[in-house]
Amino acid sequence: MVPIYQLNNSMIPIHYFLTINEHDTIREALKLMRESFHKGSAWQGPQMLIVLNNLEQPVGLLTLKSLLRATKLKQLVGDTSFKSEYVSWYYIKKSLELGIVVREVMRPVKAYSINYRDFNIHTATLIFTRNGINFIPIIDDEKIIGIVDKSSVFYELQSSSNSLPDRVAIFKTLAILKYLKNLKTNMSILFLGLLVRYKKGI
Amino acid sequence: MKIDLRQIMIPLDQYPSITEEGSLDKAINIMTEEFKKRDKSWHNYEALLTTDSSGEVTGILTLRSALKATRDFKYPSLRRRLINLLFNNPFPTNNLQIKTLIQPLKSRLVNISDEFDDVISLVLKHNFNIVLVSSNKRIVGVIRTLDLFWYIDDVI
Repeated sequence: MVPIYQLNNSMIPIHYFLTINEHDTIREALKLMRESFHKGSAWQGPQMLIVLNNLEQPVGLLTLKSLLRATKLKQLVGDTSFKSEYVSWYYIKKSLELGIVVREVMRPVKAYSINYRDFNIHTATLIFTRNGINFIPIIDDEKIIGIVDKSSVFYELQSSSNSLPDRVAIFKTLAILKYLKNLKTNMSILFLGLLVRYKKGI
Repeated sequence: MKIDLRQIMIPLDQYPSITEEGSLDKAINIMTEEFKKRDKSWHNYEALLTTDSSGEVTGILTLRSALKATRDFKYPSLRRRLINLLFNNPFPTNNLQIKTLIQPLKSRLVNISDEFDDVISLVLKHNFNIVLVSSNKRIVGVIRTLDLFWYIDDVI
């Protein structure tokens, strides 16, 4: 069962994000990212772009950190120890001359994603805290339908003090306690039976 | 052209802080209020600086740490659930002090005279969203990933 109320509150629909082609250059991405910041109201827009392939299918996410990674490629070309690995150096130098393209620094959708039907706030929290990422794509039928970001999940977690998961947790705990109590009763009966048999000398 | 970190950073007095003796509940309230104030777009302040009684910065409480602590509270392990049930909830969040959750400063520090590239390297190496700027062994400012973004054009 999908806790729809949680997902609807924390998920930003895919159409809210600006998109870029995976073969576009980083300079074009920078320009688009600036536009994205002003989407909706000034400085409040998303800090992320959706990367599309030539078939217009979403294949990755371009975040601020992806863009920072692009600056490191330039440093590598000037690195003398890296120059000794000629093939890699030649490849990176060539791609810098042509302009670094988005697909070289983007985060592929498959790296971290949650299926819409499996989504719960607990899983999302685990992915955010364990992997140090800020956005997770939500997938349904192999298509991205939206993005959840760390801050909305945190806010959702905070405002769900009387939410279903807590109640479910309590019921689960009560069920375990009941199971343990039954187990204790059954063991008592068993030992009592053994004791009686022992006393009778059977 | 050398990019001066003073141009990029947010000065210390403009960044929200909280005393390390405060409770996690109080910190979470400050963070959620910031979230509501900013039209549910949490772009600007994803962390709180923590200070000691003399006002010196001692650490940083990130949104990630707060998220982890909240998750542990909202979705406790079976052991904790049983203890809570038997002993009338001995682990409420308002008793949890911030100083038990803060991240140390040391790994997040850059010097004010450091190069722009050094800051990017540190951010990428440790996957940080925020680093702190020091001058003469005192924290003077904060640099977020967003602040670095405006200067990427110059180094690409």
